[in-house]
Amino acid sequence: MVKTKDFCTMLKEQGFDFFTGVPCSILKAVINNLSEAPDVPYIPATREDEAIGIATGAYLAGKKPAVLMQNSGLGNSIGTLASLVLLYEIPLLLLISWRGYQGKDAPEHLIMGKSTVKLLEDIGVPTQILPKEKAEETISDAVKIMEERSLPTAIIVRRGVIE
Amino acid sequence: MKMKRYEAIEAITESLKGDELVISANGLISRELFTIKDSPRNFYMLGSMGLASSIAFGLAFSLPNKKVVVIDGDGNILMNLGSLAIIGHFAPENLIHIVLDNEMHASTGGQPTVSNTVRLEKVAHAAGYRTAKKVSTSEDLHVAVKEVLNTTEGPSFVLVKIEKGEKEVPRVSHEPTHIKSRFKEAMGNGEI
Repeated sequence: MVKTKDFCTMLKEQGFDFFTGVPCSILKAVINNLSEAPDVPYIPATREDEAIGIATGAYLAGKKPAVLMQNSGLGNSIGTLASLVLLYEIPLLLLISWRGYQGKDAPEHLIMGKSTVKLLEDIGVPTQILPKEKAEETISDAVKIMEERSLPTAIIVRRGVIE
Repeated sequence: MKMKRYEAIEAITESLKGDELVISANGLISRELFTIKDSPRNFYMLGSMGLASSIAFGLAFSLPNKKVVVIDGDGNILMNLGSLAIIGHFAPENLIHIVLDNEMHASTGGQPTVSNTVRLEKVAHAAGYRTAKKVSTSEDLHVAVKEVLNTTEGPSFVLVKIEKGEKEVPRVSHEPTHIKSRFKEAMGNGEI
């Protein structure tokens, strides 16, 4: 487990300085922490694809943005990832919660839960699943992908891994 | 007399000072802007319809001392009305949102949108844009763009009612990664 406060500090220490997204209960403590942080903006977007557009603008302005969303919102985002973020090679961090993990969740999450990682891999977004230990390494690996390959990269967050 | 889109984009580029950052919506808007006046300060969207104003917001919010102009279309903004809410709420005063409204999806063959009845300038005003006006002649568009460039009362919304009609224009010939890198480089070099 990694504590919410420590996880947010790690993100900022790795240079992330602009946050936007759409909430998920799994990410609620992280989003609340970032929303209240005086040193970074968190823009509460109306949709996940809008959040990605906003993050792209922030990147063009020289920021290092991260987008937070539930995996249900990944469905709203595929077209934008394909025809904006991957096309122009915009390095964004996508923090995506994993509802429907191992088929145990409310019915509306099961189909997307089964396909989340496959969808990301299929369109070419390097994806890691946040382990219960060593969150810092996962974040620095993500930064390496962003900086060396100019690609967006996803970190998938299961319930209970960030506390 | 109403303009065609090409004339409207000409009027906009003539009225700009040249140091603005410009985000242009995908389809014929980007293609015509590219044909009329290519610049490293133009970020041509090729895909991701609907998101021109979101990209412009992220840019304007992060660079409060730069004027950011988004050249949008009615089909584009109707796809992402939530963007008007976010822009209106956070109200970056350096954001200028111009919507070229021909009441149709012209890039895909002229299928009608609903902007013939939906008053987009009123939606923008209700969302919190500080100024929102509607123009339909080249002369009024020149005046409106110059006005919004000189105001600190942003974000500004300019709805431009245009008529149907296209020119034969090429596709944007730059690679997408080149559009991005020269846009960022122009900022780094202090050109912007």
